[in-house]
Amino acid sequence: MQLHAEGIEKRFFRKTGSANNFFAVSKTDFDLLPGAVTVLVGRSGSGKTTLLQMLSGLLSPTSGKVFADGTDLYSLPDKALSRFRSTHLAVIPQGLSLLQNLTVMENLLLPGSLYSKSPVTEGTALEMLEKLGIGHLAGVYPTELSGGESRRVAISRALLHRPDVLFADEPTGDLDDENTDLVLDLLQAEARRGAAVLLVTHEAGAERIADNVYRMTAGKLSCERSAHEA
Amino acid sequence: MTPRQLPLRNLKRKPARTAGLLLLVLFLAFSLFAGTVISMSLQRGLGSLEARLGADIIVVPSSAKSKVDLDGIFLQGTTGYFYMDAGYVDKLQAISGVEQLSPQLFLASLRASCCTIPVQVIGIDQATDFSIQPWITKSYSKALGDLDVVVGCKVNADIGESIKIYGENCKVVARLDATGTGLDTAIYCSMDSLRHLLESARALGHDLKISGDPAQVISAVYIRVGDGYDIQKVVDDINLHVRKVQAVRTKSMLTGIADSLSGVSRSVRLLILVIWILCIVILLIAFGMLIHERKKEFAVLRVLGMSRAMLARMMLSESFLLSLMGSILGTALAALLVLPFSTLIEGLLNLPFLLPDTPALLGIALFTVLACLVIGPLSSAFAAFRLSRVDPAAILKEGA
Ligand SMILES: Nc1ncnc2c1ncn2[C@@H]1O[C@H](COP(=O)(O)OP(=O)(O)O)[C@@H](O)[C@H]1O
Ligand SMILES: [Mg+2]
Repeated sequence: MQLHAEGIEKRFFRKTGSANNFFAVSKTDFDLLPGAVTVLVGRSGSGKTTLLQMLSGLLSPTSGKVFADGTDLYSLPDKALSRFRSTHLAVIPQGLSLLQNLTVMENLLLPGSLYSKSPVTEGTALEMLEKLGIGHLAGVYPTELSGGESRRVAISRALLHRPDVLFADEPTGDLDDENTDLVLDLLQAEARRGAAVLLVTHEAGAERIADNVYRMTAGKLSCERSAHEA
Repeated sequence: MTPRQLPLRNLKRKPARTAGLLLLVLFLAFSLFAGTVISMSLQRGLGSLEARLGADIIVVPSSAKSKVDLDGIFLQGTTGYFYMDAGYVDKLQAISGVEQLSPQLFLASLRASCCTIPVQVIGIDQATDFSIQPWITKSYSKALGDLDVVVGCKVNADIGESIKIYGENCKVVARLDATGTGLDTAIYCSMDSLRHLLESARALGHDLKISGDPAQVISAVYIRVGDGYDIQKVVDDINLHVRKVQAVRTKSMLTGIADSLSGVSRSVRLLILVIWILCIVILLIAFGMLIHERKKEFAVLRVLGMSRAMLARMMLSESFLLSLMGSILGTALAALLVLPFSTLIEGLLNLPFLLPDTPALLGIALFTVLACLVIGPLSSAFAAFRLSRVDPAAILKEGA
């Protein structure tokens, strides 16, 4: 699935100097291609998360459109957009995102049960957890997990449903080097399988799996390296 | 794990929060069920009391009024006795407006084998009685033989058993339906049987303070006034023309009860209202506080692909489940407290108390549960709306 953003921008209302609003993301076009890992870098507060949320259907842009295989995402009613997101997209949010009332295993299985999709079996879910070295935590509630463990559960949950487009917002921030490498490998494997992957990261090592690299500077997007140029 | 299982799971995983909300709904259900049953029972008690008295006027010896509590004897079943000559029946018959009249004879048993408390024994004149027999014929159609007795529903004796009153074995031939009044503790027999018991009591050495011939006394005369006559005028005529008796209008006996009854009913209804307003306000506040507490959770569900409608439905299902459990518990608890202890409540309120029949009780229970099933989810509607519209972008940031 190809994701194509056309002239999207996001303006937030906030007093900054003389103006009372500012652009977290300035007008830009953007493409996420299937089979490629697109890495987005930039300083904290530059607008990376805002861009990722607009692309993933979670935040409607102030102006501009986001197309997924030709469908204008934000023209869909809530129900259709939710179903679309659930079926084709997966997001690993920047903050903590586990449901506290569900065990690790249940957290993994819930998204698959939302719309009559072919549900994921517990066996497959367990395999995914084991890939990330947390198979033994399947029956545990999130309150008992460390930050790194929670992060890996959230990553497993997103990968498990084999999305067409995968959004990962600083997924390795609280992981050690070994696990960081593991996660980067898994993201690359997702792209190999045909998914479009957007990875927002500070991780220098991410360069190694990147097909395209973009930089965000105070809301302005610039291309640092593109697979087509190489 | 499917979205359908989420509401119950959310309730289970937050036991303190769930218990708090459950308790509020429980109060709602408890107050509505208990209050409705109590106020209906009082209403029915009064109705049955009116029907049971059946007379417009009761005439007693004028000395009785100062000696005993007449309301107590006629309405609440306290024991007491007083006597006058049977000749008054003819004198009363002569008063214009008196259509039907029937004497009764009282005896307060001290120790009857059936009863731990003294019982009022009432002899009725079967030839003329119109106030008690209609009730007796419901359960016993034959005339009462010598020492046959009919017992009120709270007298602890079964049909066919004998109870001993002043040494005499009296055979229980029928039991009366509940009236919710003190009359439920009385024992009824024929006039002749009662004279027999009077003799036995005197033979045992009890001074009943009978002046004149014991075979010729009565205690009270029940009078029904003919259509078109003013009852108050008949009362006044009797008090004016017949010496040494006191005529009492039954309605005036009942107005005291009716007044305090409507007072209690009003207080009960007011109490229900206050509890409901209080509980609903607290529910609204509690659900309002949930909005903040659960924003993050709902944002995650949103990111995972749930639609606004699904989120709202989840929240409403939670409050529906809470209301269902809370209302059933509250109703059951109220039933457990009100139904078995109706006698105690009657005693506490000192008012006639007659529980509604089973279908009516079930109806009230159903109404209570339904009312809670509407109110509970309704008070969570605002929270459901707000939470379904939570902005996942604003919440799921670093550190959040
Ligand atoms: N809901 C919001 N309202 C106002 N300002 C916001 C909001 N969300 C983000 N911002 C601001 O927009 C800018 C970009 O934020 P973000 O996209 O989270 O940055 P990054 O992910 O690159 O650290 C920041 O200055 C942030 O303070
Ligand atoms: Mg960010």
